[in-house]
Amino acid sequence: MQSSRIKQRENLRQFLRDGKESKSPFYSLKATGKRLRLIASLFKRAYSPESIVAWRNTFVPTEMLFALDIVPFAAEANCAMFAGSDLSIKPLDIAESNFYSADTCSFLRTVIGTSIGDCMACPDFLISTSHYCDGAAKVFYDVGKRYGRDFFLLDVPYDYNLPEAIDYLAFQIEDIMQKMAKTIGIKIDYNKFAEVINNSNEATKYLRLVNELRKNIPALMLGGESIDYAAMTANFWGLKEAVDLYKLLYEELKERVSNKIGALPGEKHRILWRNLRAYHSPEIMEYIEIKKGAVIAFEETNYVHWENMDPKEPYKSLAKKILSNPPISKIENWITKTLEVIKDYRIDGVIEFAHRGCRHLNSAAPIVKKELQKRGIPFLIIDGDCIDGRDYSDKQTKVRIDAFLELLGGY
Amino acid sequence: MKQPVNTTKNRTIIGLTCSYIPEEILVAAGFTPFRIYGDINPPELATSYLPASFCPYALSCLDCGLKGSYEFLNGIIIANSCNAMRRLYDAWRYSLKTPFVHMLDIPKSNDLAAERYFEQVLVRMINAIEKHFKVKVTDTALKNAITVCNETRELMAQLYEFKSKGELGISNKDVNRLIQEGRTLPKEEFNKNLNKVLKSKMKKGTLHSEKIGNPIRLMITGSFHQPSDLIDYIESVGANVVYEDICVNGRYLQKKIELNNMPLRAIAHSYIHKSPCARMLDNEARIDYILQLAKQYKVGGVIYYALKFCDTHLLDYPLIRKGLNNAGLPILFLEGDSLMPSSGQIKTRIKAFLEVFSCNQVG
Repeated sequence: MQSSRIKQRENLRQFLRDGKESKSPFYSLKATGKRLRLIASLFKRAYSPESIVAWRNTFVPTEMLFALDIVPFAAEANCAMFAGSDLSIKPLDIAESNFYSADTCSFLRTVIGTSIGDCMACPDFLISTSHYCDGAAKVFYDVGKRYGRDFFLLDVPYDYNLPEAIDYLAFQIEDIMQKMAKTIGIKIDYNKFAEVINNSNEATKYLRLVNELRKNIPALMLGGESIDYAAMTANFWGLKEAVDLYKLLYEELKERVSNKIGALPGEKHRILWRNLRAYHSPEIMEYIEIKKGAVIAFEETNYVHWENMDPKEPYKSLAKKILSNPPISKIENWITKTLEVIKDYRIDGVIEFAHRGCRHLNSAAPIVKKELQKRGIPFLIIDGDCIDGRDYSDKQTKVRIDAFLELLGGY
Repeated sequence: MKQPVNTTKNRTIIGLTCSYIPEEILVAAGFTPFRIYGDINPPELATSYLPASFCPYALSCLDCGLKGSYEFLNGIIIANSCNAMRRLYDAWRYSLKTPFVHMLDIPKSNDLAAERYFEQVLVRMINAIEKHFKVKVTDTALKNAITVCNETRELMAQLYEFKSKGELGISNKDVNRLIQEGRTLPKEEFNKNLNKVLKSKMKKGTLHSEKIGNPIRLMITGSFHQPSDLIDYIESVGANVVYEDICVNGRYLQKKIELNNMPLRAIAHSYIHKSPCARMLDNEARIDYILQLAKQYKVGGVIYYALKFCDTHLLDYPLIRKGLNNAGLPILFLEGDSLMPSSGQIKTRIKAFLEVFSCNQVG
């Protein structure tokens, strides 16, 4: 049986004591500092005994939690933070010694390992979507059993276009919120829910504006700095602070446009980055951008795939937001979006980081590659692991990057 | 072992990739459901469309498709069972010209909302079939199909019952071949064959197993694979496989559908409430089901076979292991990268498992 959050906070401190200080070369904007402080503040709140905490996987909309004053704990995303401090190996070993196969996703094994090691903030609830990956819901279910807490599945239908798919998902969102509210002993406050949805819409408005600005040549921010906005910021949708964050980011980038400041002097090429990154080391992106001058002009994780939500229909709106994510359904939806982005951002080449154990995203790569090759768009797949840096080969990776960039020319 | 195909008759044959796909609907349409097995050879062509470190079953299905093994199919239904099957759906449509390719969305929950959603999903599948093949799937046809498929389930259950008691007089390999061949035949024909086999055994009286002494009784659970060689090996070292809880064998025959005035609703209800396989979430229900089977078939130990990169089965294993050990049931974990789990390493591990094994009947 797990201990209290105070004990878990102490266990976390002990755990972090062995970590290395992670210094990112990608920190040029005030907005980035604000983002990091917001992450830290939410993370700290999760460890407070007074907080009601819900573990969520990356795709559970935080709006449904903030509407109930529940603190979201992004279990998978937090593992990226541990990887950045070189702390993943111990929880990975713990998971493997508890019979979790090393062939499964290292994000999920780190979640297991840190929960067994009792340094994660004990949840009051756990919620996972059934997408992208099969593993997330399984691991959250498993962890729920370990903590003796309710686990809720958001079973996401395959075909986003169908009215019954939206209805089914909307029903589940409402059902889960009602159950959580009942357990907490409150009723859903629809005025508050509307406020949360409006905040989310407002923040999204600024993100769309940011994404529009990022079409600028030269690129206004490095991909190494922007990529983390997606996964970590997904923990803030619905907060007023997210509005402030994206508004600040927009204003900073607008200023760069006015002052004609690019993120990378002598930008040679514009790259589209697909999927996540190696969180144990910023080296790969640093090498591509800072050393080789090929800016990551955009990354798919920051793509705004959803429409404005209707605060009068929060459940359906959130269902549509979840379902609109291109990689959920047929591959052609995802490829269409990729090609749009390539055109809009005047991309010279595409790099995909293939996280070992990520069946859903990696499995699309061979077909995506064929479609890009048909159109003469160079595509590089970097095999690696987002969390586990043990097998990372610096030399090998750089050789492949060099060969790819030479293909783009100018080297 | 190459998958046998009976294409001599003029039939519409629809390939299936998952036991959650209701065959009743295809039978009601007048089609022959054809469970796709892939084959045991390493994939050669499929890795152009799917990564090499991927579900061996998905790779094999596609590989066989690319080599022309499934050209006779008039259509294929791929279920949203897991990440691998979702991507197989994409890769199949991208690389092959099967005239009708349909994705059947299977909920991961089994509450009432999921059941209603699944019913709507089945309606869409029926509409797609009717439109493409210019047929009509009526409620009467569905009821008849339920009756026929229920008979299949009942006959297979009898087959397993006799098999588990060693009363069949035919080897496990032959039983699996019978089942595999049957999955390519029209149901009525399969039922006739099964009836013949069962009656001939009953006529001859009880035929006891040729094994001397008390072989250890084992059950296999886990990912899709072709069980024959694994079973042969286990039997050659003195154990007996009395049940295979895999989707093409034991899982296929679960639960008769209760016939009522709403046959499609009855189908949706029955399929969504099958004892869960690893693609569902309820591990506790899965553990209970394995223990129930172990008791019913007097199983002394369980072999848990997971295909490499099969996340659903790999991630289930720790809790399943704990659950079975708590119940005093030994479990051996095997992992393989092919549909024919008979590598030297696997054989060594089975032998070691049997050597330390002390007969432990769950009762």
